[in-house]
Formats: sequence, structure tokens, C-alpha cells
Amino acid sequence: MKHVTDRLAAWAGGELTAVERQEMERHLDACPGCRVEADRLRETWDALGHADLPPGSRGVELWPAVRERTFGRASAGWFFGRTSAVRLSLAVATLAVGVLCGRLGGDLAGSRTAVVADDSGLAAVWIEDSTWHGDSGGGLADSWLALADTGDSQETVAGQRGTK
Amino acid sequence: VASPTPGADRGLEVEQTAQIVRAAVARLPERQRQALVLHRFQGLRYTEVADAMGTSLAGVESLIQRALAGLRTDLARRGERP
Repeated sequence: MKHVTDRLAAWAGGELTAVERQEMERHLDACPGCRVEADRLRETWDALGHADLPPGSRGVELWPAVRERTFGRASAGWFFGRTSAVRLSLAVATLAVGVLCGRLGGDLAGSRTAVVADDSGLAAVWIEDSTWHGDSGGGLADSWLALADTGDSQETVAGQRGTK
Repeated sequence: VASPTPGADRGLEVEQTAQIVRAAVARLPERQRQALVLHRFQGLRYTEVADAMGTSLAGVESLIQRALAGLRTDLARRGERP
């Protein structure tokens, strides 16, 4: 059984059920050591708020639609239950929408978009990473493309647009 | 001495903090970063992250727990809170 401190991320991220949350908070009220751990983890969670993508970012605006397409109407089971040809068509359609939206948002200089479709469990991900170039370089789109590259059987479609 | 442009100073400070945090996220191990980004920044639930990454719910929870612990250690080592 997991110790309560192993579930603090789920607690901070709102992933516990109501019962689990109540149990967690009862424990934290009674355990100063775990409360300290919880407060530290919450600080880290909150610090990530400083790095949220800025409002108005194309990725933020479009993500709900992509999410709906990926996990809603086009759920993973629905998507992966199709033949390769159908999945490829869906991936191409997703890319086409991405390219179209990318052109519509062409005034966002320095931005880049990527649409990834593969068989490794990542059906479609839209990444706006123009604000995500840390000092280690790379960017999240590159990370996602690297993830796609690790799939055994995959169809990867990536659209990148450099408008610098 | 008060800055003649306190709003600008505050904006610079916020952006510097954002850059520090982004860089720390970028240094995380690949899988931890992917899980964290999908959950914390893209708003996916653990079940959706598990689906997207082809792993279990427990695996996602573990990845994100370790990512947060790693971030805290990294930021503390570099003299940044938390």
C-alpha cells in the first residue's frame, strides 16, 4: 500500500476522490512531518503556475479542440480500433487542420506547431512551444517527436513552421 | 530607491521566474516531463495521460510525483524557491 506522501502529487493535482482527499487531509492534520512534505510539494506545484503558457497562446486556445478530438469523440479506443489506412487518414486530417490553423495564426512570430499521430498511445498532440525554450534547449515539440520516434509501429506526421 | 517603473520591474521578475521554472521542467527526465506537461499544463486527467503515454494510472502518478520532487530539488540546488 502506498504511503500518503506518495500520493501528494495526486492530491495537489486534484486527482484524489472525495473520500481519498478527506483521508489525506485528516492524515496531514495529524502528521506534522507529512504536512511539511505536502506544503513543499504544493509550493512546487504552485511555482509551475509561473510557467503556464501565456493567455492567448495558440496552443492554449486550440488545445481543448484537440483534446476533444483525441480523447472525446475520437477516443483512443475508437482511433486505434481502426485500420492503419483510416488512422493515417485521421492523422493527415489532423495535420491539415493544424496547418490551416497555423496559417491563420501566422502573425505569431517565432512560434512552432507540431501534430503527432502514432500507434504508441499518443493519437494527436498539439504543441505550442514558442515560450518553452529553456536553457537546456530543445523545446517540448522536440520531446514529443522523440516520444513518437520510440514507438514500435507508428505513423508520425509532424508539421513545423518557422516564422522567425 | 523606488524604481521609476515598478510595473516593468515586476513584469521582468515574473518573466525571469517563468524562465527558471521552464528551464527546470526542461531538465526533467523525458517521461516525467511529458507526464507533468500533459497534466499540469495541458489539463489532462491522470487517466488521459496514461492513455496518451501508453502507461498505467499508477505509472502516471509515479512519474508526476517524481517530477515534482525532482523539480523541487533542482530549484533548491540552484538557489531558487521552492
